[in-house]
Formats: sequence, C-alpha cells, structure tokens
Amino acid sequence: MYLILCSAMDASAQWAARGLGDLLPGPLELVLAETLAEGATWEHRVEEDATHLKVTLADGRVLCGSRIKGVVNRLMAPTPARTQWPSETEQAYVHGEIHAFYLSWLHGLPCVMINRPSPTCLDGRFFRVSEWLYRATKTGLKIAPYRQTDDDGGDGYSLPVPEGAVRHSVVVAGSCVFPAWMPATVKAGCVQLAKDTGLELMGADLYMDEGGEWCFAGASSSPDLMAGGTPLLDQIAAMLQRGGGR
Amino acid sequence: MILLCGIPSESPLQMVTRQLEAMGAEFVFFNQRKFDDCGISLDVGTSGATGELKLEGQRYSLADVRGSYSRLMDDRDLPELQEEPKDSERRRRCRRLHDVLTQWMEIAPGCVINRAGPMASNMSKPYQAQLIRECGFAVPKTLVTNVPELVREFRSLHGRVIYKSMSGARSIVQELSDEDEERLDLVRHCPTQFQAFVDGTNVRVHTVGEEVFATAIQSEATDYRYATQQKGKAAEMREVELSDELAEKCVGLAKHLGLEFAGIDLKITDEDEVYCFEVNPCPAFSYYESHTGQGISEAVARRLAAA
Repeated sequence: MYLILCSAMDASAQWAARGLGDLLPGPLELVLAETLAEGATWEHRVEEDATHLKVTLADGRVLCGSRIKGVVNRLMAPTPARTQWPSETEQAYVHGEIHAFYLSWLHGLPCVMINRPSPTCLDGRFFRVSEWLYRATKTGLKIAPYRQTDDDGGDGYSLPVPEGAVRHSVVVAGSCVFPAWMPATVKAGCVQLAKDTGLELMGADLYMDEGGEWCFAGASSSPDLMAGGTPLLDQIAAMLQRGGGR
Repeated sequence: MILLCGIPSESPLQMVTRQLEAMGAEFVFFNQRKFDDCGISLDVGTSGATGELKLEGQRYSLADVRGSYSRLMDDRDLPELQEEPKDSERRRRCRRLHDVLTQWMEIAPGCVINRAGPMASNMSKPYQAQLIRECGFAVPKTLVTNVPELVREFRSLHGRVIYKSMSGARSIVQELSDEDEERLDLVRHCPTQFQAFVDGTNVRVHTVGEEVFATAIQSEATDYRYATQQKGKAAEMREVELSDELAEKCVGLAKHLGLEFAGIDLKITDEDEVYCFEVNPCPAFSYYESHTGQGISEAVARRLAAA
C-alpha cells in the first residue's frame, strides 16, 4: 500500500493522488489530515528494536506501518479535533501532544517517505528565510543581500524578491528539477540544497535579477506539485518504488 | 568574544558567567530584561551572515562572536511586558529582537550552545526515543494510544507502567494506578504515552563536547525532580564515573542530536542494562552541580572560550 497524507485543502496533493494511482504497482490510499483527526484509533509502539503503527480510521480503513511501501507526506500539521477543551492552556497542551505524536509515528514508518518529518516541520524541514538564503549560498546559488533588524516596520523582514521581479517556482524531486529548462548550474544548486536539507521533494523560488542571473529567494517542503505536471508524478512514482526507507 | 543570553541571575547563566570571569574570557551579556536598550541587524549575503548587536548602548559585530550560550526565556513572559497591550509596538519590537537573534544563532559560525533546530528533538519524546535507540541505548517499551483496552493490556503485561507528556511540556512522571484505570476512558480524547517502568538507578549525564559528568540520583520517587512532593524526601545525588564505553556512547548521542551541551537521563538496572529516557537540550545543570560540586559550568565556559 502507498499513502498520500495531506489536508483537505491541499488540492495539489489530491491532484497527485489521482495521477499516481495508475503509476504505482500497489493500491494508493489518500488519507486526509481531517480523517486522521476524527474518530481514528491509534496504536503506536516504540519497542527495543522497532517502531510500530496501526491506525484504524473512522471509515474502516486500517493503516499498518509494516504494510505501507511508500508515503507522500504533505501533513504540514495535525488537524485539530473538534473536541472542546475547557481552557486555552489545555487546548495548547493537547495540540503540543498531538504534534509530538504525529512526529513520532511518521518518523517511525520504515518505508520510503517523501518527505520525512522533522521536529520543526511535519512534512519536511522548516527554515526561516535567512537560513534558506544562507544555506543556498553554500550550494553556489546566487542570492540578493538580505537584511533583518529589530527596528524594521511591519513584520521586520525585508523581502527577498525585489519589487517588479517575476518569481519562478521550481520543484526538486530527488535529483530532478521541474521544469527542466532552468540553467544547469541553478538546477545543480537546487538539487544540492534539497540534499543538504534532507528533502526528497522541495519547492524553490527563483527570480532573474537585472544582470540576467538567476537568484534564489526561498524554498519550502510542500511545493505545488501541479507545477511539475506529469513528469514530476513519474519521478515521484519512481522514487516511491525505488525504496530506500529505513 | 562570547555571548551569553538570558537573565543574568538565572543559576546556570550565573555559574557560567563566574567561570568566564575567573578565566578572564571576553564576554558580553544580552540581558533580556533590558531589551529596550538592545538591538540587532542581521545581513545574509554571499559572504555569509554578518551584522551588529547593540547591547545596552554598546555595539558589537556579530562576526566577533565565536561562542554563544543561550538560555532565553520566552520573551512574551518577560515581567517588563506584563502591563503591555498584546499588540503594542514595544512588545512587537521585543519579539523581533529575539527572533532575529535566534535566527542568527542558527547560522552563526563557531560554538552555539545550543542551536534551536537540534534542540527541537526534545519536542517529541517518542520521536527522540527512536533517535536515542539509533545510538545503541535501550529505550523503555512505549505505547501511545487512545484505546483504553490497549493500555490495560500493556499494564497487565508489564506490571508497573508510567505515563507522561509526549511533547516538550513539562509533566510530572506518574505511575499508572488502579484509580487512574478508572478514568482511562479519557485517553479517547487524546493519544497518551505509557511506558513500562524500568527499575534501577537514575543517572543524569551532562556532556559538554567530549567531556562527561555523571551524577547518580538516589530517590524512591517515580520522578526524582519531585521527590519531596512524591515521597516526602529530597533526592540524594553523588558523582559517579561511567565506563569509557558508556561515556563515549553519551558523547556520540549528543553529537547525533547536534547538541554541544546535553543532559542525558539514564537508568541503569541491577543487571547493568542502560536505558536512556530523554536528552534535555537545555539542561538546568546548576541543580546537579550545586549538589555534587562537579565542574559542569567550568566545562561549558571552557567550550565557549575555545571556540
């Protein structure tokens, strides 16, 4: 069984689920964050030498960790259950507990996972703009100077894309970049950045500066999959079948 | 130059400050309570991360900071902000100051004790347990569930079972009792973490780079931090020496988690099995040092000065 985990709002992942169904050798289940949040029963065990997961969803589907061959993980955060808690403090406590729980069971799945969770982001890695830019420079990608201060008005952050510049989004999946027409050095930088940050799937924002050079402006671990079209789905299907989980 | 961040009167910071003074190291203090007189600018460019820090009127180049020790409290809870409206500019500027400082620490060269990214593993104990297991430590058998029947089965299998929070929220470890079983239906609202009780001696290990300080804790309480409340008698502590192999494993675990300084909670059974429960990425080591006289603060100061 293959899984796509995402929220009901994630049209991009649901589009991918429709396309991937025909490309994978086994059944593909689309599991929404909202479905996980309401009425599911959970059994998650951390043993001496293995981690186990069994989830029984309210609609009767059973997800067993050992039977899952691959996951496209787009769970940015757990969807809060509709339970009413007596106070904001309790609500916050429960939210923290659920987040901790999701991180653990996702991490414990032994199969290939695009992307594996991290403590700062369930569907991959979260960095502030400053850190993305810093990391990008280490791969040879060009960036425009970026400044943050405590005195800035508004949110205190300067935009990494100059006014008037057109932002282009690319998707990195393994060693491939979509769309493929980007210059080879830019593609290599993006692939290296994804690798350095442990992301199998990464979206990168780029723009062309006044000198005609491509500059990196930011990235995310939940890119718009539709931007990569069918070739991206072929690549994701190949990555899921290649294995390489724990 | 070394940068210390937090409240100067807080015990761990106070101890490290004294050590830095004793060794004549050059250091500056970002006193959160004086945030009105502090500022920061961070520049990221092809040459890396640079910028300037203003501390109580003095300006310092971020490039000169080679070692940082951060014990920042949540700036939103600072006493100076208690009377401030939620959306006041003063409050927002304070938030931005802390935010930019934390961002700089994530990418700053040199020694940072500890960076926020690696510290985050402690936000999920069952997740961290899996990382701990990868380093060769035994971890207690753990069940997270919202099914009361599974908890009862788990208890009947293991006899003594404890429960505690999964997240970074501090909770008092409690043993599951017959009375608790009567309200087990409540777990249906939120998956809850249960662990097989491990009997043995609690050992807190502080690692500072390659240096290791082990403290054995004698207590009858389920959670020795609350020994007086739980058993009416405070925990007793003494310095112990670990085998070279175990000390190396502890250093390896801290490295695996990306921590320059870590507080590792072990339990060593009568059969010499070593269980690791948790790694604290921001250990309040002063509690242990004040009981045993171990040179933890000196090691932290040395680490910072050597960067």
